[in-house]
Amino acid sequence: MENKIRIRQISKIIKRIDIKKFVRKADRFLTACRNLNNTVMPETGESRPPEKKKRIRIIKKYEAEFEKFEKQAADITSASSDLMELHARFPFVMNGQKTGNAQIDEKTIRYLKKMRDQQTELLFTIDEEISIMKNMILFSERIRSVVHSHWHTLDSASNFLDLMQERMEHRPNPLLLQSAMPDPEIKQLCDESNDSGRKKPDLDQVSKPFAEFRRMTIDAADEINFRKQALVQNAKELRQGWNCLKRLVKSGYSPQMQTGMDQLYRLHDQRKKTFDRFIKESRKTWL
Amino acid sequence: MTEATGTEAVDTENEESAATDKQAALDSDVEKVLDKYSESVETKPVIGAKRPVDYRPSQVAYFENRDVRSHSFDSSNLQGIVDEIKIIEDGIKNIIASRTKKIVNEERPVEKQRPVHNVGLPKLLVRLGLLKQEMETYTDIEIIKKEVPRRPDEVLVSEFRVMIDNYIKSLKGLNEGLRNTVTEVDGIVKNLTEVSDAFTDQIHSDRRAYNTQIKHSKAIETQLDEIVPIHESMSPLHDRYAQVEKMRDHMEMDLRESQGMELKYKTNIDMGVKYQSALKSYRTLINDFKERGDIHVNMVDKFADGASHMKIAVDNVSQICSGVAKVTQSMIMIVESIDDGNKVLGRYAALVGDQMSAAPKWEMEYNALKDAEEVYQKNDMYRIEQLKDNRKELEQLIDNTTE
Repeated sequence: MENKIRIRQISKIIKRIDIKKFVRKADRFLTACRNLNNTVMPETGESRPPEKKKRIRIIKKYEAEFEKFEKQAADITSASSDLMELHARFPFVMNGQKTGNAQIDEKTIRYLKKMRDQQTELLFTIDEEISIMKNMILFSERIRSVVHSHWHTLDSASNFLDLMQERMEHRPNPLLLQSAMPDPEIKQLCDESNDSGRKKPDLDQVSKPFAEFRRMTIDAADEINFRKQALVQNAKELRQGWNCLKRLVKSGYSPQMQTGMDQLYRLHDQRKKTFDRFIKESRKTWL
Repeated sequence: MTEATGTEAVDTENEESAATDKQAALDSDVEKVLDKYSESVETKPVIGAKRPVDYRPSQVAYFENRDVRSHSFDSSNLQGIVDEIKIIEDGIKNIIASRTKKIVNEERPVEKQRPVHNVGLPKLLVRLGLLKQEMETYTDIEIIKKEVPRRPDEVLVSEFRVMIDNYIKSLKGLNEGLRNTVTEVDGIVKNLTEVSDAFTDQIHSDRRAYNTQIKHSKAIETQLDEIVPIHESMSPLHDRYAQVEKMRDHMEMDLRESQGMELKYKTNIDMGVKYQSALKSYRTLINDFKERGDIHVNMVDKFADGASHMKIAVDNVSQICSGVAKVTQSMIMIVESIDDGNKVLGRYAALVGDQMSAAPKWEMEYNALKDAEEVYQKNDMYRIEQLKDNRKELEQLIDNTTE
C-alpha cells in the first residue's frame, strides 16, 4: 500500500517535469532576446531601430520572459531533485511480484535495477542540462548588457567619423594636406581613403565588432536549441522508463516489455558511456 | 731768366773750382735736368700774346646734345615684380570671393490686407457690430535677405585672415567633439577590459572548484573500489547483503552526482573561455576603431596648424607685396627725378655750350632754364615728401614683421 502511494507520488512529480512547457518558455525567451538585440543593432533589412516606447516595451518583455524561463527551469530542477530523493527511498525490491517462475523473477529483479538506474541517470542528465543552459544564458546576459550599454556611444562615434571623412573628401585641400603629410599614419589614412574610392572604410570599422557580437548571439542560440532538443528526448525516455518501472513494480516482468526496456536501456548505456568518456578526457586536460 | 738761373748754376760750379769726379757726375745730371727744363720753357706761349676775342674753345660734342641722359635704369624688372604681385593678390581675392558670400537686403513690394480706417459713425457701427469691417489692399515693402556671390574686386586681402580664422575655429570645434568621442570609446575599451578580467577571475575560480571536485570524485571512486568486490563476492542470502547493496547504491549515486558537478564546471569553464576570447576580439575591433579616431583627431589638429601657417604666410605675402610696391614706386620716382634732372642739365649744357651773345636769346633761354629749375624744385619737393612717406610705411611694415 505504501508503495502504491509512493508510486502515485512519483507519477505526479514526473508529470510536473513538463519539458514541453520549458521548451516553449525557452523559445519565447530566445525570441525576446533577438528582438532586444534588434533594437540595438537592426538586422540587415530593417531600416532603423524602433522608437523609445517600443524599445521599452521590448525590454520589459525580455525581462518577463527571462523570469518565466527561470521559474520553469527552477520548477523542473526541484521536481527532479524530489524525484531523486523518492527514488533513493523507494525500495525497488521484489514485493509480491513473485510468480514462482524463477527465470521471470530473476528478470524482474534485474530489470528493476536497470530501469531504476536509467531513471536516476536521466534525472541527473536533465538537471545538468538545465543548469548548463541557465549558465549559458547568464554569461550571454553579461556580455549583452555590456555591449548594449555602449552601443549608442559607438554608433554616434562612427556617424561622426563618417561625417568627418566625408568632409575631408569633399574638400581635399592639397596645401593643408601637405602640412599634415609628414606623419606616416595620417599619410596611410589619406592613401586608404583615396585608394578605396567611394567606399567608406569607417563604416566597416564599426560594423565589424557588431558582426562579432551578432555571431556570438547566434552561436549561443544554436547551442541552447541543441540542448533543448536533447532535453526533449530525455524527458520522453524518462516517461517511458517510468511506465516500464511502474509495470514492473505492480505486476512484474512480462516478455512484451522486453524489447521496450532493452531499447531504453541501450540508450541509457550509450549515454553513460559518453558521459564517462567526457569525464575521463576532461580530467586529462586539467590535472 | 732762365739764362740767369743757368748762369748762376754755372757760376756756382765755377766757384767750386776744386772740381772732383763727383762734381763731374753731378754736373752731367744737372745738365740733363736743365735740358729738360729748357725744352718745356721754350714751348710755353707768351701770355697776352693773342687777343681774347680770337679765342675759340674746341667744339665739344656735348653742348649740342640738349638731351642729356644718364645710363637708363631698366625698370622693366621692377614692373615684372609688380605684375607678379598683382597676380598673387588677384588669386587670393578670387579665392575669398568664391568662398564667402555677401548678404544683400532686397526690398520687394508685396500686397497686404489691412482694415479700412473708419471715422465717426461708421466706426461706431463697426464697433457695435452692425456694419462689417472692410479690408483694403495696400502695398508694403518686404525686406528679404538674399545671398549674392561676390566679385573679386570688392574683396580685401585682409579678409583672408578672417576667413582662415573661421575655418580654424570650426575645425577646432569639430575636433573637440571628435576628441570627446574618442575618449568615450576609450572608456568603452577599458570597460570591456574589466569585464574580460572578471571573466578570467571566474574561469580561475571555476578551475579551482573543478579540481577540488575531481579530487572528491576520486575519493568516492576509491571507496567504491573497496566496496564493489565485496558486494560482488557476497551472496544475496547474506545478512548484510541488503545493507552493503544499499551502501553501494548510495555511493554510486554520490559518485554520479560528483561527476555531474565536474561536468557542469567543465562546461562552464569551456563556455567562459569561448566567450572571453570572443569578447577579446570584440574589444580589439573597438580598439582599432578608436585608434582610427585618434588618427583623425591628429589629422585635424595638423590641418588647423597648417591653416594658421597659411594665414601667417598670406599676411607676410600681403605685407611684402605692399612693401615691394612702395619700394618700386620710390624707385620709379627716383628714376623720374633723375630724368627730370637730366633734362635740366641738358638744357643748361646747351645753354653753356652755345655762344649766347645775343641777349634776348640768352634771356629767353635763361628764363626757360629758370622755369625748368623751378619745376624741378617743385617736383623734387613733392618727390621727397613721397619718399619720406614710403620710408615711414616701410619701417612700419618691417616693425610689424619683426614683432
